[in-house]
Amino acid sequence: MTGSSASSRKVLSKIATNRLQKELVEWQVNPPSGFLHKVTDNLQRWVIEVYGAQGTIYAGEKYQLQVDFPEHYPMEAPQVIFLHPAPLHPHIYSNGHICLDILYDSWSPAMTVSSICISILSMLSSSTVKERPEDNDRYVKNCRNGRSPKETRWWFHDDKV
Amino acid sequence: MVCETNIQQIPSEESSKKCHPDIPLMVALEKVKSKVNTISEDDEDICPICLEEYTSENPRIVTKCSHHYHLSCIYEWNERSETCPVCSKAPDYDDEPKWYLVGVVLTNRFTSMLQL
Repeated sequence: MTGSSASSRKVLSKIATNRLQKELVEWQVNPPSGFLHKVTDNLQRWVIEVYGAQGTIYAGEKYQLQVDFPEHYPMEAPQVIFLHPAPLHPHIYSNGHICLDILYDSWSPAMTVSSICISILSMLSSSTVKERPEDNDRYVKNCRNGRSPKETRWWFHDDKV
Repeated sequence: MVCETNIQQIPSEESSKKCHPDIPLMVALEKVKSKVNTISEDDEDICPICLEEYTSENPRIVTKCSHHYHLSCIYEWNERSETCPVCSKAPDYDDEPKWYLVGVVLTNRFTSMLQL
């Protein structure tokens, strides 16, 4: 579930490397609240701890996000998934894939890892129920060959959660 | 209601793009003079795409919606999407050019002359 396609991904371009180094410095100076990035030598894959916000149904819980950057980041969106176990949420599948438009069709190169994290925490915090998407089993079954969520054609028609 | 998913390859983007007709430089300058003065003060020295500073060799350009980028950065993004990365506004395909260098209007013809 860690995205086999990521391992076969090409190395980062010079532009992508420069931008990620700047994002890394900015993160260390000004990390988004509720997140901890375990810095490694691998600039192309970030593993970030997410802490459920106080006053929400995820308070006191800790999850892990895995962010894989494509060769042409930020012109192309990173692949962002939750590592097992993924939080129970109406837009998060049990394989860690996240139904969030900014990760796919609505990606913009002006977004950053930090802004993605804030959007994901906002999505978690606005949920009032801990449950999987209605089509979880069908979707996860279709992903068993290691398909990236970026290859999914997503339909976004719920912006309440 | 949850997100429904339909597993299939995303169809490739339309390769054809609408044209932005060139207009005379001075006419365009008059049209946008006020817009150039409304650039946001936030992070004005940094391109929000590459996070690098503007230089004389790689200067700032301003979109019709008053957002600034390196020309090369916004040009590369516009090959993928016509929307502004900051405000998501799509061009309205009127008779104005898409980008403005500070003090200079970049028509499509001019940008192609830059061989970007």
